[in-house]
Amino acid sequence: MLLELDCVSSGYGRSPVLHDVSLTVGAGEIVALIGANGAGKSTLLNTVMGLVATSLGDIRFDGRVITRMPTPAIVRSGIAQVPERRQLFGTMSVEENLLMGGYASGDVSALEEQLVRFPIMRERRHQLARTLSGGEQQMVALARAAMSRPRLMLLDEPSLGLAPMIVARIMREIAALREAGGTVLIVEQNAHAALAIADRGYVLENGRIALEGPAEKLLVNPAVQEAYLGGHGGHYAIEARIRAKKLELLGR
Amino acid sequence: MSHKSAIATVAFLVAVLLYPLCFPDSYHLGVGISAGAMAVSTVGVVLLLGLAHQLAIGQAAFSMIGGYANAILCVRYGWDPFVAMVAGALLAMLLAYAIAPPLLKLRGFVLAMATLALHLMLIVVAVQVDFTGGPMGVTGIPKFAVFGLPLSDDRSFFWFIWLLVFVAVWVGLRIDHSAIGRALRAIAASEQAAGSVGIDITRHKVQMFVIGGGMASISGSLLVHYLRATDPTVFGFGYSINLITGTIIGGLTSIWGGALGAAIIIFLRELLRELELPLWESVIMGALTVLVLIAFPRGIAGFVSRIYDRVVGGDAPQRVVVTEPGAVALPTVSDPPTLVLDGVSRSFGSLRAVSGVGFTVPAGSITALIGPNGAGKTTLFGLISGHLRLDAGVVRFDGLEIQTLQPRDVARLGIGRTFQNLQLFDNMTVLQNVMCGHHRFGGAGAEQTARDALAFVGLQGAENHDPASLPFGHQRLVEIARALALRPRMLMMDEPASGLNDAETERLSELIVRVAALGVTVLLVEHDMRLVMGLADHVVVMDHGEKIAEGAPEPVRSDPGVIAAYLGQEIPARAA
Repeated sequence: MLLELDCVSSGYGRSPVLHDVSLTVGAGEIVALIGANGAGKSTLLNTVMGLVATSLGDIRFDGRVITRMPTPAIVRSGIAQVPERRQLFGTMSVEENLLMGGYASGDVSALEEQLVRFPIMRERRHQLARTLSGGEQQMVALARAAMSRPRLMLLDEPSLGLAPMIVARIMREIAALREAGGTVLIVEQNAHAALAIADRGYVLENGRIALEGPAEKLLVNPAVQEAYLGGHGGHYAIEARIRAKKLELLGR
Repeated sequence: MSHKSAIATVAFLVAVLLYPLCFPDSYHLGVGISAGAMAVSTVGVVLLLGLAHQLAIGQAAFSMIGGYANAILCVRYGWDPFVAMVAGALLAMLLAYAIAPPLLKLRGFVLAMATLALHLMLIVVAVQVDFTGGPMGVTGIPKFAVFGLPLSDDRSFFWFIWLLVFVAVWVGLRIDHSAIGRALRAIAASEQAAGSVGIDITRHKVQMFVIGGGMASISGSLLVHYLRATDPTVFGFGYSINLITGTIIGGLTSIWGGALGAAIIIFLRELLRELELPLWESVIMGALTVLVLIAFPRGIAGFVSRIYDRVVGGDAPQRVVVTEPGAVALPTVSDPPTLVLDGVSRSFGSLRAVSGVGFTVPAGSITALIGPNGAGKTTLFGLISGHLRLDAGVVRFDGLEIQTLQPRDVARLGIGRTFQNLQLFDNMTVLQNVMCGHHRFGGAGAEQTARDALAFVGLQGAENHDPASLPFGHQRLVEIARALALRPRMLMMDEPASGLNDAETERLSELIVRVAALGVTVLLVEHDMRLVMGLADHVVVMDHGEKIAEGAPEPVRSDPGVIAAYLGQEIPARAA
């Protein structure tokens, strides 16, 4: 296993957010972590990165214990995080943002690969990152993380605030990472989109792993459907229920 | 009055009454008088710097005006010191009022440098001009007197000064606990959101600058009557720095803390002087200051308040529960407004963010604005709410042209909004956040309105929580409640479902329907097509800054142009 969390508890101050979480990510896999707001999904990624203190348990990356390593050392060992809401350097150009992605490793030779992979970035190379649209920013964030040629990428809500077409585009890019031999742990509110590209998935509830299994099994699991995939009737049934509620309350 | 205020008041009065009785010698009384003179001016620092985060730190400039006005009026023209003090305060406030509008447009360090430069200018003038006595200053200033009644002994002067401190603190507390205090905190947290609830940002900054200037001037007057002389070094940069440092040590966000800090810093300085280590005095002072700031980030007042909470137990935070929306009936809008956009354009440099967009948001409708990221939807929101200026075009709200209005005036017409990236005031509780929404109606009734708005969105038990401690979905509800506390006639929501899970999205939809049922016209930007197509009466589609389609949900959904530009294929099937 490339990444292993072994009975990990972690959190801020005295109150733990994660309780006894065990999770694995194998090389070449896309693993989705889904759950409600406040379930601890982002905390789990931050725990792996060493940004949140682990109180119990061990985290191993490629067989090596990284539990109490400082964040820069974890990055150098081959893990890159794409944080929630992208967190680009807004007043730097696209190219400068990408170069910052190679800062920890001291190696920026991946720049050309990224510009080839995302032609839009070659076009916008000298534009300030904050002037890009949300979808373009997400691509820059992905490319920036890929600059260090990480063996594992942690993605935090890559679909947040993106148009449906762009979500599909980003998900295709993430699936392409796996085809290129990459490994991904993705945290998503949009369970539908994440499970569609994932090999395996975990469901986090109140800081504990409630369910795990192959993505196609989770997609048809009644409990998952009820809680994360739009309830009865799945993703698209929500629209009909919203329309019915509107008719009931507004009479139109 | 809260328990804490009551305890602070009693402690203050006891200390002020007993001090001259315990330390009747003129040296100790003098130290107490200096401390009191400085404490008067800390209230202004807390209001402007502590609450509103405006780095106006040249307060000593106004103390200098007060000090010199008194010296000159009393020595040369024989004025009564009390009358001269009032005149000095008025003069300082007048000057503050005159320079505030351009000065307070500056932000952060630039404002800090500008206020220090103002102070420096006054020092140079005082040195160079004969009228102020040049480098020698003015001597022979009489002891303080009120309408000819002299405060001949230091003890009565001490009590008089600390009475003024009490008055200043009382004024400060009244402001802090009023709608203006909330407005100042809101300005510090997010000027954008403050504008969106109708807060007049410039006006409140100017008010505090003027009040602070008056208090600083009084402080300067009192000091020169104690010293019986003044020269340009009395109100040097050291005075400014002591004032700011003292306020920070006492507690920058607490009115009581400011006064306490002034006392602490003056007494500390005297204590060090008694040790007779002239060389080390400043070094020890500096090191102590740094240590206190590291140990008590919210100052001594913050520390004491935390100890109090721990001993008394404070209020245990309630469990936050989300219930069905619409639990409380909010007032309805009898005549829903119409919004009309005509030829609206806005460019940023060479980028045409919005170009020639025109559409109507029908009265009482739920209208959705959709389009790819970067299509100009959020820009258009900013143009309607007054946060951005348009280059061309007209925006009519109920027939009234609003495109030239400031955000606060747009809000006061009854247009509420939420933001794409949540803009909650992180320096207040949830309840206070929502109370800010009521700003356009003044202070009365704010709390009841806020509680009703929270009940309407279905958020229970969150009132005393810090908004940042709530899960994201709950924070969204707080922002919506704040916009509802404005009693909006139109509500604009920028991606309200972003970051919400399916269950929360469904609840949000019901909430939006219930808002529309009040007669509120709703305009929303959203990417979740289930919500858009299920909710909207009218859909407007933008791409590259232009409107590409408009109409009822179904025709828009099947429009080939919209599919090509935005909807595309649904989520790709899982690769086998």
